[in-house]
Amino acid sequence: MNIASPATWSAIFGLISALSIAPTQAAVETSAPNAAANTGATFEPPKEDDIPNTPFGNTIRMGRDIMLDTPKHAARFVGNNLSCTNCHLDAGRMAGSAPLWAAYVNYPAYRAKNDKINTYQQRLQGCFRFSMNGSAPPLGDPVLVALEAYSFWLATGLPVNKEVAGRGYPKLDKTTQTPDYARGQAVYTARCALCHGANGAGQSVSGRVVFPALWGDGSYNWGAGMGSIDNAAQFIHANMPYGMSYSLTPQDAWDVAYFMNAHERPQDPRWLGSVEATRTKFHDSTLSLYGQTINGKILGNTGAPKQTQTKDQAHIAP
Amino acid sequence: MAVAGYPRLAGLSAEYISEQLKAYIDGRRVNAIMSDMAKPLTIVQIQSVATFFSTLPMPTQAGTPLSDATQADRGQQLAERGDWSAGIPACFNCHAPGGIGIQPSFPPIIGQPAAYIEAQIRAWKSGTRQAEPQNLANALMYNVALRMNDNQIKSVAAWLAAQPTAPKNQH
Repeated sequence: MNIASPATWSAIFGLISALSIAPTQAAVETSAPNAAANTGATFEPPKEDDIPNTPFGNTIRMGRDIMLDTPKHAARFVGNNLSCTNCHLDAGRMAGSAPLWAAYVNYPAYRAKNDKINTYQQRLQGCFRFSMNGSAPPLGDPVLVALEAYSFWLATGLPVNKEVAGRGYPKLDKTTQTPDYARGQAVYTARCALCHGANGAGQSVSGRVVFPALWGDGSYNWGAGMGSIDNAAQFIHANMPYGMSYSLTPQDAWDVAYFMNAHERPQDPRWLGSVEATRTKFHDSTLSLYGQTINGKILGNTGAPKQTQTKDQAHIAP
Repeated sequence: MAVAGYPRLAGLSAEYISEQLKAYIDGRRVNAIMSDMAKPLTIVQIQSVATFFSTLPMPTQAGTPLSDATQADRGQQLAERGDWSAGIPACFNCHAPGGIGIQPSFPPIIGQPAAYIEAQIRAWKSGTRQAEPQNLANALMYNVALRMNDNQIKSVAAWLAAQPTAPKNQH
């Protein structure tokens, strides 16, 4: 991957811009090339062409395909229009975009979210239950096995149980101004609505999702990590818009993350019978707007989750 | 099959065609033939001609395999997956799977001659094709084009132009 300091990048872009823009045209904004640019990541996962032509290679390819078009390849477990690659760019390869290789080598791991050691497959179950607003595939299901195989293969050569540069989304310090709905709305209109639509519902064509829904029925539910304003701000800052990493100011990223998560979305599947109880147990943080009043409405006050949970899910802690 | 380098207009959205004619008038697009033809047009004429072309059926085209397999693979990879390590998202990330476009801001990129696609990427790269300054699309396409090398531009243009088109899926 192309790794360089932000200072180097701006020097390069400055030079390129000066050389290539026609004098009669206004200069167009440039940006860092990708999320990896600010992470210091040095690891490169193997190239896709090198997936072995073996039965195991076929499982790896299936995992890759699930990442790229989750509703198609893991339909039984998906309750919305999102795909893994929407939040793990380049099919989970990109540093600074929660790459699978960095996660894989750090599991099993303790998670405060369910207060226990989680295996990698259990971690993947959480993705389906919350981010995909679906149901958790049973442990050992071919979908989980394929995603695990793909992650294992991506991590070829990485030491296990060591923090690795590029994991998760790059940390984004709090800004001096508290995140704000109106400022976030302005950022959304200028920088997000072209793709995700004025109403946040995303855009599809011929039955294929092109730009995912950011809120509403087609998006992640209230239990997803992306519903936490800090996660969302970090993801957006490093990865959005496509090809324009780190082009928003940190303040813009915090504000637009707040705005996005200040909208209604599917109920938290850990619902405890009331929005107050669910907030107290799972959302007791300034970083979640669940149960808070926005524009005169209490977010998450939509009653019990619409999907029924299966027996398979019952033994999986949230 | 279109004459080399001349884009098809049939089936493009009226909004997109209008915006392109305005871009020629404003100098945000430059073409030896089109710039002078667009300048005398009134707003009403622009809307009429844009609506007319938008109602024509998109011509169908059978796929033609490229003779250069390496170029085909490279082009397909860029169109479907991009080259994210170089900051190049997949064409289909924004122009929709199959390159059929999302009207009005992301035009179809299949059913166009390779020479046209190639010239447009180069125009974005050099700054001689721009959207309206406040339109995010301006920065999106400029940054992508900026990072594409000659080989990538030629490969992806050749591969896109060789894809079959199916008019029923255009809207």
